[in-house]
Amino acid sequence: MRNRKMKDALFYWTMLGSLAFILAVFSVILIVVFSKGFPALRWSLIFQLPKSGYYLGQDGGVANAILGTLYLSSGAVLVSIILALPAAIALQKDYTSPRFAQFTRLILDVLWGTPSIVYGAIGFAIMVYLGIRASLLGGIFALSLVMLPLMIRSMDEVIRIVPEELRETPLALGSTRFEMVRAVLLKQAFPGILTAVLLALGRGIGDAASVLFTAGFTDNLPGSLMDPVASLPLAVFFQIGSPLKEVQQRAYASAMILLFLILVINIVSRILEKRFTRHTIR
Amino acid sequence: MPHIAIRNLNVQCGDHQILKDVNCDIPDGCIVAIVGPSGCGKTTLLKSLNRLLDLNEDAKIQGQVLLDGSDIYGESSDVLSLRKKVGFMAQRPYPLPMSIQDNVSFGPKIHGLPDTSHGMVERYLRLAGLWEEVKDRLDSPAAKLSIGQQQRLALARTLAVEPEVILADEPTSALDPISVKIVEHQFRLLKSQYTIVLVTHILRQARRLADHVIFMYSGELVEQGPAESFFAAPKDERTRAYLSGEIS
Amino acid sequence: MSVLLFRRFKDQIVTMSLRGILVGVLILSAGLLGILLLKSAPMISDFPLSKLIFSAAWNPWKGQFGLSAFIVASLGVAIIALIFASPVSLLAALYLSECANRRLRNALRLPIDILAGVPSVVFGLVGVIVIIPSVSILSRLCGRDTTGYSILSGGILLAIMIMPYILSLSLEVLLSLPAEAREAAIALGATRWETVRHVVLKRSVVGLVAAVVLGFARAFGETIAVMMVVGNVAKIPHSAFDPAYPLPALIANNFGELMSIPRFDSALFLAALVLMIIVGIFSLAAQAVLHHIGRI
Ligand SMILES: Nc1ncnc2c1ncn2[C@@H]1O[C@H](COP(=O)(O)OP(=O)(O)OP(=O)(O)O)[C@@H](O)[C@H]1O
Ligand SMILES: [Mg+2]
Repeated sequence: MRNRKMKDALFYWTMLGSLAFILAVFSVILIVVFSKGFPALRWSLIFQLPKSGYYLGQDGGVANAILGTLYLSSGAVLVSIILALPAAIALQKDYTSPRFAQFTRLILDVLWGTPSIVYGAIGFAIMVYLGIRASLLGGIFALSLVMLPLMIRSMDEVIRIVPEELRETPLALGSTRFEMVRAVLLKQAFPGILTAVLLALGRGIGDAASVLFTAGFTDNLPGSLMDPVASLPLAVFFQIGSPLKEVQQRAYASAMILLFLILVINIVSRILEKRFTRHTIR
Repeated sequence: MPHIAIRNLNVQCGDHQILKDVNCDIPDGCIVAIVGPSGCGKTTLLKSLNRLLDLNEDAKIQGQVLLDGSDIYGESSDVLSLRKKVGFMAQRPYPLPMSIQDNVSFGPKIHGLPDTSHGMVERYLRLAGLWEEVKDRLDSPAAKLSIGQQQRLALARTLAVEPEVILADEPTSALDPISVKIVEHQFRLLKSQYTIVLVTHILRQARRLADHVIFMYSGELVEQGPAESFFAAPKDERTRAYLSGEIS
Repeated sequence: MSVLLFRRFKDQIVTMSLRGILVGVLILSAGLLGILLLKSAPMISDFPLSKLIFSAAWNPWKGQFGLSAFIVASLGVAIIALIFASPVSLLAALYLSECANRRLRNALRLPIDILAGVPSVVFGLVGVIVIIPSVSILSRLCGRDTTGYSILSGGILLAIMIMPYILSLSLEVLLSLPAEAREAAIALGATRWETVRHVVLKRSVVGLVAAVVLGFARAFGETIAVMMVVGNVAKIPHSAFDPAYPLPALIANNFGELMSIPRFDSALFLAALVLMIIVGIFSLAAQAVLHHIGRI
């Protein structure tokens, strides 16, 4: 009996220890990034473009990369929403046979797990074929490929859990399928759809591999969709590779900005999820 | 002519025959109660009357349901206008995820009815006996209402599309005794203008409300008739057993 | 009547467009695979596949394109990651499903989601600052003097990255197990450990394996973070302290300047194809299992 209890206690403490370890890793990452990044943070880093000699330790900032990342990811989010929302609705049993839907879900889940470097390579191949240089357009295209499966599947999951009886309510009044979708599915799933969009946005902001050769990198802001564009993850990546202390410091600060954006998105998504449940049933 | 006439209706789900050759006439302007033990096919019969059963992919429906003489499963029948004519209230009320007012005006709006005004909303909320309780918060979410209020909102929503028939599936089963009284009272007030078909588990409710009773047993329509004779002198053995509480 | 016709018409149009877009997305997905195949075709037709996959000779300027060093490196970091990450994540998931109450579970959702969403370049940066020096010191303790840029560092970093991922997937699997299953054992007087061992693990082992396999697939394809700490030397590593050059890093490092050497671009697309196929097979198998479980 004592033996059994001891085994149980041992098991309990290893479980708890593992959870504590993961949370500790999480804190270490936050602490390292913020403690290294904060001392190097300057207003100029956020608001200025890199000046000549920036990568040799001269003045300037990473505004090009911050804005570039926002352009890239918001563009890709927009493209993805336009395709993902209809596709997610079409996956519901109101529109598709369950077997086809199940098959499509499986395919999309596999695509979700496909490494973004692969999407970057494919995006690049298509751009070469079409004669497009590394540009904002190319980056948005590659990033949309990364986001699309993720967005379709997470929207699909939140629309799928709308109860059957709720779908029947407007149909029993004589509504068409589309009127039902608008009155019930979209309204009821709205908080979840919003979360899916923000999830994709966070993924887009942090993704470096897909934009590495599709978006290029530049010290300027893009003037058009055809211009190359910088991105924050790549700015971190390039600066950390520098042998100069000052430039490395800025990599830390840039990483802090990047992490901060991700934190904000996560927290905002939690808040919005709560706020928009006003009309939600049950 | 009966308002609704069901002719040789068979419903099959996979290998399972849910309704077996159901025949009956539902007269105009009265309350018809469908009673029977759990799982005997009451909900299925009710849903077949406004083709909500169509939503179930593996349900196979054979036979005829004549509404004013024309088959609702026939070629020329239009399912949207049918459902406008024949309203359905579910067992548990599911408000639409919008405000109280929008819940009522949703139907008239999609059907393009001329009146979608505030006055129309008030009229139907009054008809459902809910107006006094919600008149100050028409813009608040319907989800915040109590279950009893939600059920009356469902009634108002159904009435607002100006149906001829109201199908109600155990409309009081989720309610507290006081709400039950209110809803039953509303049904009694409405029966002169509508044909009301009501599924109920509670025999006493059928006695209180029904003019005409249909008894189902494992997919068959066993007996039907005017309420008085049905309760006073049931003809079938199984009906007698059910009324005396031997099967339930 | 015209209102009705118009509504029906609109509904038809919408239905067609929704279905069209879904089918379009599927066609696009197939197209992506097609492009990879097309682009790596010159390579596959010019060299025997065995030479490409199993040879470690990577000398593009001499026309040698053996990918095995890269494949081995990728497998190496992913396996090290799995060894470190899976016990910790599974135990933490067990704690959350078997011991924690719902409030704690909900409270921890935010940090776990954030950890899963930390950009990989930030992980890479932390790896450079924390893991590289630690591994360097460790190597000195083991009697080898290295910089710390090694397959071990890559593995540890990947382990950290896939921990929250395996944790949430396996937690989902564990929570889908009905409470009655556990109650039967607990009612007999079983301890928590006995319940977990004889009931919980037995009934969810397939799902947990699938979660771990998905973690492996994720680790296999991770790019930026790994290439920041793994050293990027195109040789088959012989110890955990040796540097290595995983497939994603190969693609990321060489894609820009690929035009000068003949066949080089095709070799890189072949690398991407190999990457996609390996990751695809593992995640297809794991997802099929998870979908199957979810449907019961
Ligand atoms: N979608 C379905 N697929 C297969 N069988 C079904 C389906 N829906 C209902 N059934 C079966 O049809 C039979 C009748 O169901 P129905 O819901 O009509 O019963 P009911 O009389 O309304 O019961 P209750 O009083 O419990 O609501 C039941 O045996 C049920 O299991
Ligand atoms: Mg029922």
